[in-house]
Amino acid sequence: MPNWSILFFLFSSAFVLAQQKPLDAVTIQHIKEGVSLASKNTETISSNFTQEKEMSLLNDKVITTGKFYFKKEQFLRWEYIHPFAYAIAIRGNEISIRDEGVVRTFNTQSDRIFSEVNRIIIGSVNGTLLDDDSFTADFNQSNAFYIVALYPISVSLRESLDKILIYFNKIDFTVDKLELIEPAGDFTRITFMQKQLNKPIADEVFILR
Amino acid sequence: MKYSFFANLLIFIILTGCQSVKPRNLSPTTEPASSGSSADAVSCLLPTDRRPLPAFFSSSVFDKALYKAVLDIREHHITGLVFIKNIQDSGSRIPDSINSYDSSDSFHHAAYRIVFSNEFGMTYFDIQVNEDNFLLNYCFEPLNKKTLWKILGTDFRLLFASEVVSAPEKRYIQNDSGYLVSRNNQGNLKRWDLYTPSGDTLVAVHGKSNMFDQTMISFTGYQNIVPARVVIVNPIVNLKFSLSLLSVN
Repeated sequence: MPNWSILFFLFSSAFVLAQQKPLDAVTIQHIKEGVSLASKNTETISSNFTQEKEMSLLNDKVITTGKFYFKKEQFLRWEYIHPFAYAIAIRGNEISIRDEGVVRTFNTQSDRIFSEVNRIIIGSVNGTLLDDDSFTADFNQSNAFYIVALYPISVSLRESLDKILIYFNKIDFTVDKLELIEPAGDFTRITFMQKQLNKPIADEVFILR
Repeated sequence: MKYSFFANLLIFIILTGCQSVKPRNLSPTTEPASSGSSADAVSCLLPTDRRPLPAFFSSSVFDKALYKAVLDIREHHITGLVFIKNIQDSGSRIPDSINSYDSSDSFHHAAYRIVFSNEFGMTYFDIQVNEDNFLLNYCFEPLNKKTLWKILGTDFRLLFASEVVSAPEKRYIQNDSGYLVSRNNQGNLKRWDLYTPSGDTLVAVHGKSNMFDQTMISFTGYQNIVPARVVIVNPIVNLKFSLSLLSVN
């Protein structure tokens, strides 16, 4: 993403809540088709990200930064660099976690929570979560984004997650920002920066050592 | 014959339960004396004015801290971040409607807010605590077990006691380590604070209210006056909560 786009994004995001507008059926269809086409045309994504955990009652936030890699269909690496080192790599049904230098590997099918996390992360990034039966969707827009609010249907998921807001870039329909809002009002905002699409990424990137 | 299994199980539980967190090999300290005997050489290392010993989380230590955290409960392994904020001065009042496992209704002001979340930011639990009480603001449903929180409540009350504690304090020397041990009551908790022989650095806190919530907390790698690593162990329920300091303000 060029620098002017980042500035534009930063500037516009400050007003995003005030400028959200509900959408008509034609625009919603336009978003779904745009996201679907972007997903179809995107083989890889590499990006830096900033994650802000906002604690509403404390008026405080925890900020972490890291790197993100995605490769079709089911390869994903999510790595925190600051203020701690932690990495998750997903290869299909296999998840590896490297924490404090130790790598552990699971099968996502054997762990319901990881299976859910896997589905939500990959589904958010490639847009398939929009058609996921586990969520109801609400569509809005601001100047820079199409904003899709996903509300979990399952009672157990609703206990820890009120909704997910996915901010799709209006130009290329890729995800610029995610917000995970919890029932108590705390939320986590993940902003993707210096995003690169379809740049070759070796399979080894998704193997943690 | 069929009762023998249960008898053995009962004996095992009793023996396990009798495993005490009370530090071993303690000798009462003696008041410093003017003579130069070997016993006095030990006691001369102790604070002579019986001044209060430093607590881990005294209100002056920091406003907020961020720790990397690992919680192991039996076969479950949970990782994430623990954010600690000193809210003693904010006077934040706890609404009566908030869920609490605290048995007392007198808890209205908390000294610390502790939020444990996973790496993606989703909250595992959010509590408020001081030396007398703790209050559960939010808990991820699989962790929301009353028995677990009886134990974690003891852990956090011991950890976040900002002023230790009530008279009569007793002081001992641990014979093998040379540690200075301060024995106090903290509400319904029995508490032992272990200090370096000079009495200026807290290395461990042991405590319990009953045989099930026995707790041992160790502090290592101090950066200035904040421990870089805190490990909480509840041996009876096989729980270990490890905290590694990331930042402090």
